Amino acid sequence: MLERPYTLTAELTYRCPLHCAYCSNPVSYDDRPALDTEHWCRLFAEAEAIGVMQVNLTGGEPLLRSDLERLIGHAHRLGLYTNLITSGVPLSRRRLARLRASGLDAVQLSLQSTDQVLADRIAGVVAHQKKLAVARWTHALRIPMTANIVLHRDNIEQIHDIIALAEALHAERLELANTQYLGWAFVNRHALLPTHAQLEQAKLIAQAARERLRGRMEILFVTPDYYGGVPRACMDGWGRRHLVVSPDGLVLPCHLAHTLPGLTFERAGARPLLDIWEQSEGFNRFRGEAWMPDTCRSCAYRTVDFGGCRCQAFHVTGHLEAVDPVCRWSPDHHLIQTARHAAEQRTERVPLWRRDLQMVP
Amino acid sequence: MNEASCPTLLPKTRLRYNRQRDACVLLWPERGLVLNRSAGDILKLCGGHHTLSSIVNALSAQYPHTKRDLIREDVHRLIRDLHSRGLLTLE
Ligand SMILES: C[S@@+](CC[C@H](N)C(=O)[O-])C[C@H]1O[C@@H](n2cnc3c(N)ncnc32)[C@H](O)[C@@H]1O
Ligand code: SF4
Ligand code: SF4
Repeated sequence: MLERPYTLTAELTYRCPLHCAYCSNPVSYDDRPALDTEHWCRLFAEAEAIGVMQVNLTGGEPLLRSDLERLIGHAHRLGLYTNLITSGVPLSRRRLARLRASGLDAVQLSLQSTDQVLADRIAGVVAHQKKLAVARWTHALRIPMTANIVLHRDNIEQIHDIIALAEALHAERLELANTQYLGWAFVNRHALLPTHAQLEQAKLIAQAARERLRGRMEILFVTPDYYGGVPRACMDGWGRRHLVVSPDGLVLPCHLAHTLPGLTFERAGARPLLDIWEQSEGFNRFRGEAWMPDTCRSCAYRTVDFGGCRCQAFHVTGHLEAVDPVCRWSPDHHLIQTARHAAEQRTERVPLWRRDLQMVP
Repeated sequence: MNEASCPTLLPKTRLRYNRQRDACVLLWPERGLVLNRSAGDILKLCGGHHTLSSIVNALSAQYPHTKRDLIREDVHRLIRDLHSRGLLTLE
């Protein structure tokens, strides 16, 4: 029987004052109007009624919405666990206190580096000092904090200092998120992909720190896709546990599903959320195993990775039903090996592309 | 961990009743556990005001038909598990 969803990721807007070169958000999208307060509130209520227990408020930058207090308050009154996923940039201490008073349960703050110059270069704007201030306010207001840092070639060797910084900022959790090469990160893959040696070194340091800090700070080292050999269980499997709703209200199994051609998704409110979850064409397209290529259908690992990431399969190979190319048994695996090989070979600096389509040296 | 330790759930966790699953759930960022009845009853006492032995006593009173030794084992296993996942402290 189909399980009910556990979490709702509410992408409140795609707008964002930062221009992270690794941003996994869609490179282009139709700029349709975002859902208004009433629609989000109704959606939260519907989600809670069908079994959702957590709501991630994200984007883009969720703080750009002036109704964030109301949205958090509403989710909180429904009994949902509320987690604000933010760059922290457009925030004041007073507003953070208001968000907490509205019922915010936790903050996930993204950082780029321990070094201000590098951090701001990656983010494309001056942001680092502000983020550190936000981390201090979060601690002062006793809001549990996750520090999130996307790891790539230019910052992965700082991992030791990154862990120390998260500790100093009193993070309860640290997500060492190896870049997923989707959205802008795919465009900038050549610049971002670390070498195998860099990754192995980072993994060792993260493991040692995890042991040392057990009980004080939880450390997650998100599997580096291109070096894994088998794919991640993307979203814990397509349409198994998670609902994502895009700023304009599309109900999706992952935040990039609407970038795949030929799939139909439905808008929140068009019909009951449970019907969308259970019946929408897009959700059912990659549920279960019937859609899988033979390589996966005969592979024992299919119950662990659910056939990997559809967005990655499509954006790398051009085919929706392809084996996820990061899998060593994928007939397209050479595409990943070529990218890795280039990462090992390159010595020169590669420019980064960003949302405003300017190259930053 | 001993009988006098006070298990305390960390601030990032929330213990809630979920009506759709008719069960207590323990939530923390991006994760959650759906608890069986006794686990829910144990965690309700993990706010830092009860020692391990007083939790065992309370559960024994609540489940009079279960042997105390089994309850003790259950409580210790759950607390140890959540402690190793970094979800509670033992003062
Ligand atoms: C897309 S952002 C939106 C929220 C907010 N703007 C921020 O950056 O925190 C959501 C989360 O995804 C992370 N993220 C962004 N691009 C990523 C990528 N290519 N791989 C892995 N994580 C990524 C961010 O660090 C952040 O924690
Ligand atoms: S990852 Fe960076 S650019 Fe993307 S939404 Fe978050 S802050 Fe904005
Ligand atoms: S063959 Fe398919 S199921 Fe097996 S590891 Fe590769 S992607 Fe996963």
